[in-house]
Amino acid sequence: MNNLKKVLLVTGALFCLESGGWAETLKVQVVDAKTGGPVQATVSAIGALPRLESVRTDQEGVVVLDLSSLESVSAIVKTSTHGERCLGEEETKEGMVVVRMEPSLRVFGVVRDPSGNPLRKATVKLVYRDDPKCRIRFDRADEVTNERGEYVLRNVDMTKDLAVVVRHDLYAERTLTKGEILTAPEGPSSNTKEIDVDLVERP
Amino acid sequence: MKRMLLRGLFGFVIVMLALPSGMAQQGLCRLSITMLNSNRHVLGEVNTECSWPRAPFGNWGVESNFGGRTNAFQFAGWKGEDNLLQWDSCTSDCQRDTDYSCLWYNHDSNANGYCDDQVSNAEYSYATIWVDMYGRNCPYDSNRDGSCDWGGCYGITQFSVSGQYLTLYELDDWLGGDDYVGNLSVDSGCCTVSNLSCTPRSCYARYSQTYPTVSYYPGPLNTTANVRMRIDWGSFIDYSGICAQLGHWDPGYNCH
Repeated sequence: MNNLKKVLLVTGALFCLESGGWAETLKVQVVDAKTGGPVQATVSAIGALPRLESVRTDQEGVVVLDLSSLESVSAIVKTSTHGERCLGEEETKEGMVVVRMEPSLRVFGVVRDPSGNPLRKATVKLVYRDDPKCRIRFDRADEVTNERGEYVLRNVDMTKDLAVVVRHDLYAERTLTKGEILTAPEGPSSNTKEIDVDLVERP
Repeated sequence: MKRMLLRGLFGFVIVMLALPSGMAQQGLCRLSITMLNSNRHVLGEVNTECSWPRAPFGNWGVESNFGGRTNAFQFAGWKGEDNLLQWDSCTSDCQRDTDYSCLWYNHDSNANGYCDDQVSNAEYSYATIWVDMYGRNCPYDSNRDGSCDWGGCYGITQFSVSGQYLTLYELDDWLGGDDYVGNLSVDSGCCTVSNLSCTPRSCYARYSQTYPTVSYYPGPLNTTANVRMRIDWGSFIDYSGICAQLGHWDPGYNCH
């Protein structure tokens, strides 16, 4: 009888370990869509608990997050070179996700007034269309042009629907579309785009 | 009258049947969370911005768990330049402990009369995120006084985050890329707001305790700061419109 108890205890413990009965893990691998190479990223995930677990990828582009359960887990993959990507509950529930990401762009230029002079303190805001599966969203601060009217938008994720809104108190607002950014001339390197923005008088 | 009541009851049952199970749990509570740093101290050598015409001062941005770098006050320095607070980012231009006029450094750590390190104490935010807590019950007025007293954001009493880091960059304009300065890891306890106060409709601003940065790469620990988290606000969102529908059948859901 005692032997039977021992067997049952050991079997139960092994079952719990095997099935992740005490905790579950979410493994995310982040790779470059073209080369397949690892991408440095931070993965933040939230499930049922009021806790946001955040882990950085290792050299293989892999993170393993310990979570209480894989039920209703959403995550966001954030990089400084390949934009960001939301993972919905459908993607995380199996406990393993491979995320392929495209390199992002650095968009820069000069904002000018109607006379062609560089305009300081114009705000340049990058806006992405909301992804409904995102439970975690980054609130991007506006970029503000410097004394020379220059702005830089870093890590612009061209896989998303986006717009760039340029505002200044004295002039009419201007919106740059994704198409305008894609067709703009390249900057000093292939992942940069140069777009100067000429504001006009308000109607 | 009896017929109207029956119709109302019938409609309520139809809505209950039409909605998925847990139908009153279709709302979410959105929390706005801001990460803050203060007591920034640059003790050692930094030589990331030594090229003309920008040297030696530069603005530093923060790449963190919750956001990218922007040309703002994410890791504010002490030198007012270009409407920003910048750091001496080319300390080899002026040897430490020789700066009697404190033009290149703003702090005299060993009290010998010469400035030798850089300090900036005021608190600034470096990232803000919104997190949606799903599966929240619709706000409900159980005692019929017009105010919601149950459901929604009510009952969320704490929120925590883990694995916090700040990677510092000296920011450059379009002429060049940004220059890596170093990576700060925050104490592993960071950060929990444990005294969160939420009504069914909203949450009030609350702060975590302050946590120090505990490691710096590339070492030694020559740049430090304190970090804390603020829950800025919380707000219940009836994203599927189900709570409004329920209000047609049960006035308890029509609360404020």
